[in-house]
Amino acid sequence: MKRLKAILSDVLEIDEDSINDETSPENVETWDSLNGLVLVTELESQFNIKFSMEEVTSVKCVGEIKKALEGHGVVLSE
Amino acid sequence: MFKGHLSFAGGGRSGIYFCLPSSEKPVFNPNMTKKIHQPATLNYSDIEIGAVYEFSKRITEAEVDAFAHLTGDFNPLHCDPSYGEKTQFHRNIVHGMLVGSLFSTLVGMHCPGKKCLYLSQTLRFKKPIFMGDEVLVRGTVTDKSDSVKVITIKTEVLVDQVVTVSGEAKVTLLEAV
Repeated sequence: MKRLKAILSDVLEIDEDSINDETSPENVETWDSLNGLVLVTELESQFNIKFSMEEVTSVKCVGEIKKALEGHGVVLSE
Repeated sequence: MFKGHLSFAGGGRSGIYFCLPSSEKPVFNPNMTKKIHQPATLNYSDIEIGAVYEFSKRITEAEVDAFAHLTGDFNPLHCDPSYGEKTQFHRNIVHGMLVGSLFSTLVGMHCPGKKCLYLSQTLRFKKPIFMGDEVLVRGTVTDKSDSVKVITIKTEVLVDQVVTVSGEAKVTLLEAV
């Protein structure tokens, strides 16, 4: 989770401590459509995975990002 | 993972739009409709990982002067010959951001060209560039994210085969153009 928070913090320019499973584009002003694209590429690059278009369009919050990552075999330690 | 929609479509008008926050409407400048150069018109599927795109140009004193006026950066390291002589470089050096701005040309004119939407750019200034230097601007495609159609490009500026500015660009391609 620390690694995921670091990526989210870097791309979205928000404090890592403010990030939880409910963090989403609805409550983070900087999480706009363009930063969403960059976030996908950073997650793919950092975890060496590729998301499907369905995953990208269905994920709505950090908790769902975690589930998507776990679906690719990524282990997110606390 | 997305909120809202991209809102940079030109509404069918030709011309140049200025980049603005997505919440604002694009501004059309009718004084900039003259077609000077035509960008490449690559599609996402045309671009392959490992592909290299490059162009070269000579940086002139007039361009450094124009950049200083455009940005307001008249730092003497760039604009005052007597000051430049006293520095460790013994002459004026070109604004790093002038050179870095050539990466905009790389993605906007060469890869992908017309359909480009510039998402991000990192920069590292490694060595000084001097007026009169001929620079080679090179982009190497390092990754493609098919789900969001984002291309990652290693960007470099070289002088005499030495990397002087490096960085990484991320671009996506507009659909409705």
